[in-house]
Amino acid sequence: MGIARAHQMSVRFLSTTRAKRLLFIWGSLTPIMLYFLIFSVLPIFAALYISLHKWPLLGRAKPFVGLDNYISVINDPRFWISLKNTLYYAAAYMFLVIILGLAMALLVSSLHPTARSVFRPLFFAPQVTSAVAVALMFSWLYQPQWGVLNYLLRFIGLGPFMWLQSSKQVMPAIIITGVWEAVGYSMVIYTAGLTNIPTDLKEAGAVDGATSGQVFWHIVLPLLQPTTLFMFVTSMIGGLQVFTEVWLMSGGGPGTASRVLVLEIYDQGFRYFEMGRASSIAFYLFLLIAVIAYLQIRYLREQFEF
Amino acid sequence: MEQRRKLARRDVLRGSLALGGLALSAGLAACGATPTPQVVEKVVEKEVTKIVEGTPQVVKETVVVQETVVVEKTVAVQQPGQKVTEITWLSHVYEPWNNALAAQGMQYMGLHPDVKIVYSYVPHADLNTKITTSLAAGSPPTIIGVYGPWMAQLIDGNWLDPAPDEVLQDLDTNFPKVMKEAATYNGKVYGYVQHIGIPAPIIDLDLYEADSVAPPTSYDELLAANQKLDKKDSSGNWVQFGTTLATSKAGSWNVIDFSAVLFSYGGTFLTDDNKKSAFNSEAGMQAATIYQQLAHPEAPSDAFVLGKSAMEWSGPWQKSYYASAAPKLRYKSLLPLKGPVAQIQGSYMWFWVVSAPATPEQKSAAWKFLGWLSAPEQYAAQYRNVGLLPITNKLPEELAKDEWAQTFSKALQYARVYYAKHPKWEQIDVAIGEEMERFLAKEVKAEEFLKTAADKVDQILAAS
Repeated sequence: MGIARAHQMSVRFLSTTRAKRLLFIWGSLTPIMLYFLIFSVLPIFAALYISLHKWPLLGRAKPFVGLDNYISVINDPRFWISLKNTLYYAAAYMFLVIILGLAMALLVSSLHPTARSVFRPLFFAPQVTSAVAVALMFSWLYQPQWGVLNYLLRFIGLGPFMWLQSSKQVMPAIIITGVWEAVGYSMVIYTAGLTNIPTDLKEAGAVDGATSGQVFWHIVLPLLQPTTLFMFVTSMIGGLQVFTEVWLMSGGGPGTASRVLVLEIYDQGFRYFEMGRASSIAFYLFLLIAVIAYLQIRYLREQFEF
Repeated sequence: MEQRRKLARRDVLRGSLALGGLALSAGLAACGATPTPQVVEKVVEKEVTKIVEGTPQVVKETVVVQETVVVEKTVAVQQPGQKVTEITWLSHVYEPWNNALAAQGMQYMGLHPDVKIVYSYVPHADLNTKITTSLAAGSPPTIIGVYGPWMAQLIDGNWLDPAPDEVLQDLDTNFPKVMKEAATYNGKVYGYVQHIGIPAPIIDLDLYEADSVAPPTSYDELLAANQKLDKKDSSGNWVQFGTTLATSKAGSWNVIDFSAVLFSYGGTFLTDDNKKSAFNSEAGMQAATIYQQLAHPEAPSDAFVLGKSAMEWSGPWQKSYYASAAPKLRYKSLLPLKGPVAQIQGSYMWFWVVSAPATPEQKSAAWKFLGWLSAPEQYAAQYRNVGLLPITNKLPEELAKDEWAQTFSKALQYARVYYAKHPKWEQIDVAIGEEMERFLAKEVKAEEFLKTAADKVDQILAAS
């Protein structure tokens, strides 16, 4: 009798709108939550656990070593070289992507709609091109003897530059490649931001006698601040995670001139199979990204509120 | 319009179904017992009629052709109740080679129905990770293709099965001494040499003949030849390089090429007991100075096939690349160059090894299969299909007249494994290669390159 009643109640509950909604919500969320838990959350805790152990993949013993991996990493000059290069890349990449992306968005927005529909996909194309293909193409452009870049620079009396074979030029060369790939995305984000700015504000400024430069500086740029904040954070994170271009174009060389943190993680983990050390560097990178992103959001949000 | 769209959709669905059925039946057919024909690439000399200076002439050209190879028919059949031992076999991707290996595996299964061989491969860059993770997970392949510098680490962890007596006997009888030495660690032999990467000097005959330069036999002769072959235009831009050698540490190539000069000048990377670096020496200094003159980091990696470099160092497999990338290139392989102390070509080895966690039946079947795979006729098949050098004492008869194969075969007596058998060799290799990149880019002098690299290597050795 009790069971039949409970069954009846559950059937009645399940037929209600609220129950259907709850079923729909949990039915939809459970797969992605499970996926996220298994492939993102658990690996983070596993990496933390591994980072506290000496974990050579081929070794049978994996003893607990506490913070030894973290200490040995910060005593390794390669880590500091990689960190310096990573910060150099990320900072240059972030500023260039933002400035060029905004400039291109302004340029494209000012075009005739037909021209706009041509240039927007053209500028965006590198973003959807394989990073591997881009890296290989730029390697050829940078070829010191017969590369197109040196060939063109020769006409204005510059070069030849060694680009990827020079410790001083390798990072700028890789930054140019990364920026070329990403600037189209930045342009699209800024274009969306520009579209959201009410035209009557700009018109009001113009009516009050503001020059186009003043309109841009005092109206457009402040209203683009949420977009800029988003670009600051995402491009900085992207810059700190650079790997593909470095791996394919220079392998971190010449010497250690272009070594970056993700390359160091890769080498420690998948070349020397020292998973404990690799995990500890990964946590340093995680902390670096978290702190920078927090500072950016906190500082820039205060600056941008109006 | 809607009707037409529906019809079109129906047609597409019908077509998809038909295609699916076809694919399914093809898949089922492929799963059958009949051996599948394999498409392999072969390098052949072909006679073709060409117009040379206005006259039709028959000329010989080296071309790569695709050929369908039907694997030998089964000559033995599985007896009812006969136990089948399954062995898994892992290597890395190189399509013509993979096709040839798979065909050899099938041929062996035809001859030995009590053995089932499952061949698989992963991209080269992923192979070490795949091997290591599968061993760590306890599910390694039975037979693994292993790059020489990785061997020490695998052996230190007791992950590899020492070769049985019949393999040792086979190596003593049928292979040059260097092959067994290369596979020996702590007094035990761990496998057959799969192939040897011996980068012999290869010259562009047209460029040498144009300047009436004789092929060099020593480093002194090469440096003298390059006086004529190195060419710049009036603005100082390179037009032609006498020699281009590896400058990047990628794939360890700058260390491999440098090792030939170092060894020939009497140097070595590590001391005999592998406890300290040994290349920061007089021999190291001489070798570094010469290598810098020969390497040219400003040259593109394929300067040789572009006709811009008169000499590069590469392996026997390069022939098929020349045939496809520069069919008109006239080239010749030379014996390793003599140095003042020795005539040695630093080389790397790949091995076929058997994983220790395999069952005794799998190990036994795997070693027998590897013995069969390492016979001269099977090496000859590899040479035909991929250009890998036969490394047995006796060059297979069909290759005895092949000048290219003969030169590389003779070069084997000058081969020496470039790496030290040390579990941290990968780090040591990177340390040397990194500093060499800076030296070749002329950012540091030879003294600083050798000192910095030696310090780094000593730190790695002290920590291990």
